[in-house]
Amino acid sequence: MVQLSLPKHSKVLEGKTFGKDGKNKIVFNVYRWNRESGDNPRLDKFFIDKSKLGPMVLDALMFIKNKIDPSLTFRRSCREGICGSCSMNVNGTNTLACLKPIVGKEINIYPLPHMRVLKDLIPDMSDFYKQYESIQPWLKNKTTSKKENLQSPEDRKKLDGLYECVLCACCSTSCPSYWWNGDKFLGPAILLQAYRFIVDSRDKNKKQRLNELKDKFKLYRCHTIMNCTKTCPKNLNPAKAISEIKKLQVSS
Amino acid sequence: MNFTYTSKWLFQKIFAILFLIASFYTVYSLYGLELQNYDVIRGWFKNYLNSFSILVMLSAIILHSNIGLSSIIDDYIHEESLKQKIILIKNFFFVVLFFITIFSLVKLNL
Repeated sequence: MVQLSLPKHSKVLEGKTFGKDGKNKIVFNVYRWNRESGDNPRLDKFFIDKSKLGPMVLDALMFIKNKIDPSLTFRRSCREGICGSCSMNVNGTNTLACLKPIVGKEINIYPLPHMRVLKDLIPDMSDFYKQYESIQPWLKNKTTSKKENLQSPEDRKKLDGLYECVLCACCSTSCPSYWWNGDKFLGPAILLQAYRFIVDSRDKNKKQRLNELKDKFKLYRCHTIMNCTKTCPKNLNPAKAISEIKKLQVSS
Repeated sequence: MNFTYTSKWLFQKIFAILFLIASFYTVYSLYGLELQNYDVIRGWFKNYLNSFSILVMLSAIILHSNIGLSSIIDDYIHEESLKQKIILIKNFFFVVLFFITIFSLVKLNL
């Protein structure tokens, strides 16, 4: 059965406070957990002068790491929404910290929900990547020609809104169906990628790809809740991609 | 098309549409009737088209709910043996409900 209450050692406790409240100060409540310590997770408070920060939440996290607490752990790389590394939950919404502006007096930062946490804001993405691998995200084509595999502008246009996905997992981890059945349901990010290869005119494996998804768990756990589309930091529409796959399943 | 989960997904949508159509017809045909009068309602059921619309409406609800409940069970019950038992009870409940619907409508028309 689904477990509705948190185990005793998962309850988030009050943590340390860095700095003091004051004029122009913003408080960042940051989730902290270190599996080696054996302690419960805690919520540390960082009071920081807004004038010292860059515009984005990632700037604040880097400020904290560089100037206040070097033990704060999070992923980041490109700082411009291309790599998808800094995905986390900011003020209740999954997003990329590098694309999320600092707005308001209080910012709550947690790791992506319903993922195993490795440390602080770093979730374990290995199951997510295994699911990605399961859809065989590469072009499958029996042609052995050494020529370029050309595509018409119309066919290329079908990939718009799909190829931009950076696999940050914000959508998948905002999906309640993925929370309950994350081991079997592929989730919106992976299904969007699956659709990206199904509609690619250069791929000749459409039928097999569709058959692979013909499963009540892999695809049909999607109940069109639309959290995925609402939360996508790249403004993509995974829910539409999933419904297109369902339509293709009916017509194939 | 094989009878896969895709078919179930499609049928659930079809049953929802059938339910909507039948319920619109039912409400439309009952409009203006004296609903508190027993004989008027019995008379309404004597019309085969009205009875058929009720049959379609209730069957669509039963079948739509059956697929929907299976989906909810798949979502939240992860233990396979418990899931099978609950699905068995659910199917039994819906079969009984379906036969009660048929029996009631036949009885009203006799």
